Amino acid sequence: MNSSHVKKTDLHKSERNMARLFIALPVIGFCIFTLVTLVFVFVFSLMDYNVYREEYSFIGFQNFTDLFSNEIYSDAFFRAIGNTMFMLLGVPVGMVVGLGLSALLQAKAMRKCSKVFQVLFYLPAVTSAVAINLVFRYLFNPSYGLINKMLGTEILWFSNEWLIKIAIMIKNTWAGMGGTMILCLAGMLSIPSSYYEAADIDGAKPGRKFFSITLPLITPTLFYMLITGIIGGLQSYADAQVFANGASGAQTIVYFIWQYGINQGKQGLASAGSLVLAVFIMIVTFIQFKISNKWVYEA
Amino acid sequence: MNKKIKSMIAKMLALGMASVMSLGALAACGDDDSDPNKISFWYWGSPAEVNVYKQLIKQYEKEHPGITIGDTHYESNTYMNKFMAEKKKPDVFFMPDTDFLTWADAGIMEPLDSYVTQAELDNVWSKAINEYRYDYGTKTLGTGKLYGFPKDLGPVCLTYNETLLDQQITKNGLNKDEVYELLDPKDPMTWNEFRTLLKDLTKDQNKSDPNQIYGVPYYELEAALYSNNANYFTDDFINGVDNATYAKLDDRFAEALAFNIQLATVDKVMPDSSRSGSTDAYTMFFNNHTIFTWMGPWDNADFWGYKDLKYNIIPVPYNDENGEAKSVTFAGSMCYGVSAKSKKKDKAVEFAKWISMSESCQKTAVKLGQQVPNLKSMVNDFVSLDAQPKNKSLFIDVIDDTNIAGIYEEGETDMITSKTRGLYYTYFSTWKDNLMTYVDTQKLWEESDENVIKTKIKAYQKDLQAALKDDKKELKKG
Amino acid sequence: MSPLSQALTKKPSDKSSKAGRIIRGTIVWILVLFVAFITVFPYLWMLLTSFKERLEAMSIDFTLFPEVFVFDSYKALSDQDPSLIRAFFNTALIEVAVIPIGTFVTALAAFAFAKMRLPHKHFWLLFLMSGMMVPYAALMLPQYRVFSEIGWVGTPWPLIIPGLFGNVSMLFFFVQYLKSIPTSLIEAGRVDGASWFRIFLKIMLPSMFPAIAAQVVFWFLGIWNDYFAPSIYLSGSSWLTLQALLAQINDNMQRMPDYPLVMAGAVLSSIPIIVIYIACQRYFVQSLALTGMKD
Repeated sequence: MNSSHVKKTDLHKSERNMARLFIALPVIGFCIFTLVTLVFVFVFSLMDYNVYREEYSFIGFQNFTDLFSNEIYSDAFFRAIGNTMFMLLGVPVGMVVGLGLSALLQAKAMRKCSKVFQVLFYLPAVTSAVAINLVFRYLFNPSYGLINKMLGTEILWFSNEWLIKIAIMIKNTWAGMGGTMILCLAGMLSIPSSYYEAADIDGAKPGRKFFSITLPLITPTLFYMLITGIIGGLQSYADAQVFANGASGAQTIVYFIWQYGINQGKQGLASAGSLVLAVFIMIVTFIQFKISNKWVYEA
Repeated sequence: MNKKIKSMIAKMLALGMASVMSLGALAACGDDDSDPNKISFWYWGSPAEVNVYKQLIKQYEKEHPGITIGDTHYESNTYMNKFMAEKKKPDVFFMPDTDFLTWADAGIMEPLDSYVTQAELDNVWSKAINEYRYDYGTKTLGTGKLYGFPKDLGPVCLTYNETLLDQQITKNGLNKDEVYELLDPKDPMTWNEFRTLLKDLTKDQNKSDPNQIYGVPYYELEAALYSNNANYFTDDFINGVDNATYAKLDDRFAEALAFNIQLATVDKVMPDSSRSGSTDAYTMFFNNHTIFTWMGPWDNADFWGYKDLKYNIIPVPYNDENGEAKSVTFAGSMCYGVSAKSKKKDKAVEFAKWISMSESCQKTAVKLGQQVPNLKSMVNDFVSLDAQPKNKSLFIDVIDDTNIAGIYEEGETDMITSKTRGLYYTYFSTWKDNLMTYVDTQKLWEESDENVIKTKIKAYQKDLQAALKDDKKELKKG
Repeated sequence: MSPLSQALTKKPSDKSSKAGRIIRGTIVWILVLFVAFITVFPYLWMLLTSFKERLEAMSIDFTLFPEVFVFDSYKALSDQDPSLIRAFFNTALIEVAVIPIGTFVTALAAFAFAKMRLPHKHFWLLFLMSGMMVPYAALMLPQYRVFSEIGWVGTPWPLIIPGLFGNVSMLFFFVQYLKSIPTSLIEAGRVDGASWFRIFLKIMLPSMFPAIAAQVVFWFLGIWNDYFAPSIYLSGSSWLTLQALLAQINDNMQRMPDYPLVMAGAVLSSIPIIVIYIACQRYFVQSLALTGMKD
């Protein structure tokens, strides 16, 4: 018995070592490409780093205070935060459209063709952001864009700081509705059919069934979509760069980081901005973690 | 099923391994630095310009057997980013005037004075040469060592579509001779004449129709500022005086900005969307939706492509209510720099010098519609070129104040000239981004009341001063 | 029968009147067709524009169909530097280099996390997952400098090497998936004296196939459509990927837009991915559905 015990721990030891070996590559990759890099970002953020002269000097948290209180940079940074936050409003809009679409596709009349439309509506999600941005930039062009032509208007989509955000939200809703639709449909999958049968016995109308059964029960899915949408929205960059061509009304946080870090050579300031963004995202992720944990146990 | 999947996975893995390994083999070869006869050269340009450079490089390699040029081109808007990030700078590279100060100060550019004779320099526009002088000790531009051979000096002028102009003259019952008299290449219009002319030419247009014909697609702010003797900053800023007033958002500045904005808001001869910049200007021009637009000599290549287009250039209008004002446009420019760390300096400088100052290279570049020649001795080759625009000599007039092309007769005064862009004088571009964003967010582009424009822009003086001070501080830190 | 259509049949028949059902059905159809039109139209517009002349595409007088169908834009695409075909192969090469090895590495690690004894398992998993919280934008500056230092800028290495160390979101997905696979299979293998690696290779990997297929299509899509990193690392080199090339064509015409050319580029760069999507749509939908539920 004693000897078999030794043998077993030996076996476990070799299993543990094997397991360590198996996870080694992702862990090493993470250390190199994320952890060490992040340390660099942190060090840069405490430096006055002139990229042109390759000169460094330690300035403590000056970059962070500059971001928030030096009017030369803080205006642009707050505008970037404001723009990013405003455009996050597009996330719930996209969710409502996706939810509506999934409800439409679940309707009885659609039973035979639902699959075809699912595939079709998801198409924008597989198309590259560059292509989508280019097409929509063309569609929204004030003088020869199709949207103004069809509406018979001359709306200056790119010059007004609010209209450009709205144009971006329209574009993102178009691009994202397929994804939210599929997720909603999947969420509906997990609802036991007995709930609907019970409702049928009570003679509930489809609309009522949707609002009292479907909607509450897919809240975790909706919440997941909201969180991933927010995290994605916080990292938005192509909209500002390709679609808006850097217009001030569409500049996002990542655009700010790019503009100062790469375009203007203020890497210290940009690194500080990156860390602020990382903190935002961590907060959102933490909230998701807390809330979804609660839901998992309640369910 | 299992077996099939297994063999599929195995095949995929093998494919992945093979491609990683073959890539490794590919990337391993091709280190240029070891070849003493290979010069690396970075530049940017539109596909047409890239073609011109490819031709010039071929020509150089033919004239200099044994030397090869390893050329790399980027898009203009990512070029500087790549340049900044590149640890080992190329032997020869484009350096735009707007970034020159920063990089000359960083010490990565080789001083070129010892490679050229005074006689050689004398044959190049003095404006172009002086632009690339920098005195590291006093941190001032325009004096000190020469850090770049000019690529070109690009005067930006107003141009008009002659066919459309004639059509609008007839439609609005204007006197053709009187109009063409205003378009004199030697006698610039005043702001008032220009505004009135554009209004007259578009009288027949329905001002609420988006498809109307406009006078200009947008207006170059610097051309308005300089032609009112205004600027973003004071001479103290340019000369690097410490603790002085740098920002200059004065009456002159406000007048020029108001002139620019009111072309759209009051005169309605410029689209409301003009602030979105020049992206659509050429489209409007070629589609006959604007009579005037802006062009530099480098646009000729593209303009010539439109066979039916008849165009000509005129000097920028100036404000005659300001006694000191002249017709001053901006001249964009670039230079060829040589890396101070290059291992083949002599060969690199030779190439840079050839592409900037040699007759054989300049001849090709001029013929391809790229530029005004850098060499004074070639002015006639340019002026006598059998191609549009008719007023070609105006391009020379703008960059030269010595009447080298013999444009002015005895007793005539030359009041047409050019300056560099504001960004040339500053270390970063933050100040300008911030200023333009302020004008945007204050909705000044929609403002028709001149007093509001003036009050609001002057209110920004303190912020601009702070940004310019920060800029100067960064320069003096090094 | 797909899980989704199963869900659809779950809906019990409703007892409303026939007329009401027809009206409701018609409204649903109209709405769905309307959305379908909106979805398809930009693609159609892309295609039609690509056959127009440069000035026609920017004409203020609106035309839906090209006056004359011209193929100039498609011809001009082959004059790009690098050519569209080269960019296509560059993109494909990165896909082929990254995905098989990266997926294998990820699957192996997921196996260790899900089925093996590993000290501090939860710590390591959370450790890796915390990387998903760090935005790429935050890491891009130092990474660029390091890659520039070792001379990898202008080569596809910066886009390949990080991928070879696995993919964290894929790892998380696999770990979740493996929990549903019975451990008895592994125990049987252990009794037979098979090594852990052999068990992974012979037993686990084949049974993970649905999960692998679902995740691979997404990774493939991600690499295909990525433009930020490729345009940073590859611009100016002949290794440009399709999306970075498309962005470059767009940047090149800042002064004078050439929409037909850009649209032709968008059409050609989208066709491969659309074909793959339609061929593999089962996995796309399945994977998304699973992702939404497991998280």
